[in-house]
Amino acid sequence: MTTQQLSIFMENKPGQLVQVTKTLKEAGIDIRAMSLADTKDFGIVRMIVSNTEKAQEAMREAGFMSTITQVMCVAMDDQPGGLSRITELMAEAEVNIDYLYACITVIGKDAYIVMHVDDEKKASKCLEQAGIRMVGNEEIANM
Amino acid sequence: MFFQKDIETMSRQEIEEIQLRKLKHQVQYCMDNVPFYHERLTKAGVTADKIKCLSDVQYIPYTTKADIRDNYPYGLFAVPMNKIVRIHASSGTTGKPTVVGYTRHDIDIWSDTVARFCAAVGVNENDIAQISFGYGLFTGALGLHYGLEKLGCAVVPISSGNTKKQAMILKDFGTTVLISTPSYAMYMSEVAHECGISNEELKLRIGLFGSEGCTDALRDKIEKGFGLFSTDNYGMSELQGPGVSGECEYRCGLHIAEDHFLPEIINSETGEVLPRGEKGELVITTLSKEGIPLLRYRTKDITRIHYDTCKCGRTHARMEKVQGRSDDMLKIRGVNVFPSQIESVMANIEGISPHYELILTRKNYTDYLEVRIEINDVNLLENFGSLEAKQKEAVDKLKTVLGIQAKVTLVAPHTIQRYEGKARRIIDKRNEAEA
Repeated sequence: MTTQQLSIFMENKPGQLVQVTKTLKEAGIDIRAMSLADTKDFGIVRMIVSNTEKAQEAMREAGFMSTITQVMCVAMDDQPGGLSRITELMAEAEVNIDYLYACITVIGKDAYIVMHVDDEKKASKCLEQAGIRMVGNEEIANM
Repeated sequence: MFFQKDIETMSRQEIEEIQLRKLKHQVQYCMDNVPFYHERLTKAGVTADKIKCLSDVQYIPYTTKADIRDNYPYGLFAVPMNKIVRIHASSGTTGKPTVVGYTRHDIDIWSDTVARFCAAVGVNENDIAQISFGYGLFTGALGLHYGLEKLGCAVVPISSGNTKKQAMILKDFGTTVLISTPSYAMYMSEVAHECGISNEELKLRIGLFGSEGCTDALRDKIEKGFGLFSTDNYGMSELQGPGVSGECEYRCGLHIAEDHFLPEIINSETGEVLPRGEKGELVITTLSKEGIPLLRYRTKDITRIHYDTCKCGRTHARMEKVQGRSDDMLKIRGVNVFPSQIESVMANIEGISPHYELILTRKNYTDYLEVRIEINDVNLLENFGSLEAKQKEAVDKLKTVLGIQAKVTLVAPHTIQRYEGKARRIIDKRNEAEA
């Protein structure tokens, strides 16, 4: 199972991130997960939001370029070793993780990570076999 | 298609006979009617009688833009105001504008020369021509207006600006010919597509783009963007405006209206006349002008002239697309750079828009060039590496073409200024105090 991630192009200058967050605020969008790497001139903000299409439309209107990518949102135990279990599984299956970041939201004993891998099918299969839950957009919207 | 076939296809010998006859007349006319030329020519010892062949033109002193400015506003006019029916002026980016006056006959010749290059790409009386040049003192809009009317087109004088409306009119009026600067055409196609207008809904078939340089690469982009065929034309207000030369359907140079303009190519540094076929600064003597005749006017434009007959049958000489005005040339760390070179690099990179901006700065006596480009391919957002690769590609290509290392900044779509007239893409901060 995959979920939608919004990637937004951003120039690295004062006030840019404010534009993004303000736009989302005005559109009533909740941010579930977010990643922004340190870069020199420009960067890509990646996020999982409560309503991806609506968020993209709002970003477009605000003049931002963005794209929607399918990523995996994986539920894991919120305790030591939770993430390690997943990375171990990926390593065993020889799946390469392109990037990974954590969800802000924790529900009960569950924490969530977002990851983009080179072989989504293989990754999904081995996570399923290990009884690990993956989360789709619908569930994310209701978090 | 021809507008004045007999003139446009006459033999080289006939052209030169006409030019010599008109040159002698123009020299005499200047001597008799313009005090400035009377003094200049007398000082140089030139009289109409002394001109025996076309190459004798070299004894006449050059006229420069500064000469026109020094005689601001009407000092170089050869006729009293009751014979002038129109006054135009060129944008004075530095100091006073250069002012030109037209007699009724001048306007007539002007429209003829414009009608020639319009007809040469197939424009005819069935066409609806939308003129999106700014009307006013600038010669582009009215020059095309009169020429297209003479051809019998239905002219839509919309002027520049209000781009959404431009796009709507393109569609609703069934415009078939678009007249604008290349950068505005580019912008208009973006806006039209954003407004949901597809090329299929448009009847556009020809673009007559001018008033600023345009590389082949940018032209291809505009043509694809709008689904049309376009030609380039050339002129400057001092000489009359558009119509001095223009491309035919073969686009292998711009045919100079040689019955009205005598071209020469000179070394712009030494002023020496160069042999035929060499590249240098274009110098033009007007042969038919009554309002403000100019002898050996230095255009500052760098080109080369070909005299062989064109595939289209026209015998009038063809000048190569102007690579850049010698004034526009940038000297960056001692290297000569034409903005058109940068434009051609940009137009050949996938995933970025053709809009760009050059920023020149100086630090510790060294020049720095920053090129800002807009990304417009969402696929680049899939991973950071592809954005970096795009940036590196631009740096490398610029380095290959210009020989200098530029800083390339990727910016978000639509952040670079769009222009409704001539684009101003260069921001030169080198003479500002260092921060």
